[in-house]
Amino acid sequence: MIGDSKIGGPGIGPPVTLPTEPDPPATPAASPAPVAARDKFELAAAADRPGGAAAQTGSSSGLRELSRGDDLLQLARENPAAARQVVADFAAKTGTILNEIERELAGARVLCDQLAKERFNRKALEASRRELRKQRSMLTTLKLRHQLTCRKMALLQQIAGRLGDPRLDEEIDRILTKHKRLKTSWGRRQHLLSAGTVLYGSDAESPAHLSHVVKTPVRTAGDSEQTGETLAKISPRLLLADLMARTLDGSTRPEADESAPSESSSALCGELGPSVRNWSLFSALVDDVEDEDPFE
Amino acid sequence: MSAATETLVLTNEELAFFRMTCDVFPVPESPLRFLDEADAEPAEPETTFARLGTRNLLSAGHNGASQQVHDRLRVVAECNGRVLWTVRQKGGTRVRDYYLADGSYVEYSHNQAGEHHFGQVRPESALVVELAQKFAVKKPQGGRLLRMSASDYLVFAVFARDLRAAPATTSGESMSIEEVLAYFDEPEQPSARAKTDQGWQASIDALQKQKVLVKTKGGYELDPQLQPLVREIVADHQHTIVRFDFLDEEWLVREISLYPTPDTVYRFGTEPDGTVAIEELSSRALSDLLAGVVGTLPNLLASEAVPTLRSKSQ
Repeated sequence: MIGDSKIGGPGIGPPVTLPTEPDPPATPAASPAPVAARDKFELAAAADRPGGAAAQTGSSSGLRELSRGDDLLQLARENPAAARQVVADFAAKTGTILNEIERELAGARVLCDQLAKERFNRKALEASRRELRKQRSMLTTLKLRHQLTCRKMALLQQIAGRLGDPRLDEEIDRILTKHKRLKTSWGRRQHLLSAGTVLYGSDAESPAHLSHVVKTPVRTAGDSEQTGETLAKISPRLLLADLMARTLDGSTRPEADESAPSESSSALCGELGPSVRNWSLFSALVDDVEDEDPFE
Repeated sequence: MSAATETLVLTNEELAFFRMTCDVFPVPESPLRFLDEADAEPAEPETTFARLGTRNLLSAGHNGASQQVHDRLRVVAECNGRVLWTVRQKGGTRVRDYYLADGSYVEYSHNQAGEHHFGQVRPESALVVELAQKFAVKKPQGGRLLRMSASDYLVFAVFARDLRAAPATTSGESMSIEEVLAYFDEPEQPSARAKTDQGWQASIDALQKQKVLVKTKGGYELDPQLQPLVREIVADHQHTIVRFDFLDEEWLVREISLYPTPDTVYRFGTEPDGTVAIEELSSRALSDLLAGVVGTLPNLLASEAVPTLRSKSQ
């Protein structure tokens, strides 16, 4: 019991989308959370099952669709006990998926054993190709489901709803407009140096260790490796640290500096999502300010 | 790769072979994702099999990767986080890349020749140690933390500039409020000094209260303890460490900017309340901060959840 109601009973916490996999929850507790069922999870999970859309296309769209965890985060914030129950369910589900993976992997290993005896020659490979691809496709699907569940667990456990969104997205137009109006180079620098209030997503309920953690929507349709490198170059918080140091030592950004945000054109075009575009716009301001020393 | 400590180097062809043997299942954020996107298969499976066997990279039954190889591939392919460590100095910028999964990490890089380098599998805590060892920090504990408003910081910078311009053997000269204000005049914008003189005086008072400035007969000067900081900080000698946690369409981002000097290291950054911070790090504070950036976030739903490594140092 929590308060006046049972866990999962009416009136506790926010509506939450729960997994509706065939496996029943392993824990003996009642239904883990209020079930104003939404279809987001079920639809995506269906797509992610063997033979589902994600499996057929081999794409990660199923994983993407499933990753919106707003309901889970709200639950974690407002009803930690129910969130713990959801985590327990996820953990049980993870165990089941891992067993399935082991089973499928054993099948694939038998095939590979036979191929190894033939030294993976072309003829043997051709004969087994279809079966091997089928096994691999099945394993890919299971691995995606496993990864998805683990990520949702991590989201619940590590953030627990105690991380808000930075206000930069809402404020970027105001920042850009105000910045254009400033006449002095030191004034523009002062303006940017005081931008910390819009760069973080913590609020009064955020624990101290999350105050510097930022949640950023990222479109990863393309090259995720490059996306990470771009984000590391245009992170407003890192650029402001650089601005602080340059304000102290009187240096300007080297012209050929490869970390110049202007290079991050895909970010600026919005290919990586609106938030990253705003990072890019902000970093262009920092870049501009760093081109001159205000005290020279 | 003959020993566990060596870097494992694999070609695209070899990675395609291990994909075929069900040893590689890259998530969308993995740098090995190209294998799935291209539906890569080995062009010369027999030759590749023989070569991998000669290099002892296959399992005992030769039906796939050896455990050591499999473990390295799994962390990079099925990553749920990434750490980018960038060192910028005069000679250029160097980036090291680490992929994380389940509390372990593998350093990874690739080159244009199509070679992929995988470091050994190590726990996240080892990465903290590795990073911390790159800095010479003499103080075991008790570094100084300065937090100031953007205006106060500009005034602080004016004093820092004045000191940097002075010979290294001197402690600089006192500056009057008028001398400080002169830095904010711009000849082409005579009316641009929007902030009132009282405003700058307030900044000076705030810095004096924080013991950043010391009042002298002729005006104010920087606290002698801060003089090494303002003399030795060089913006173009910077380490940035960024960790991404992949939650699919949302990534968690944590980062830190560190500026080393011969004797210590400083963290520069902005704060959620709009102030800017410079923190001189003791060796303990450095380790705590790095663990806060690089380590997996603690489980907040666990009743025994430990509050934060980062908060301990602040």
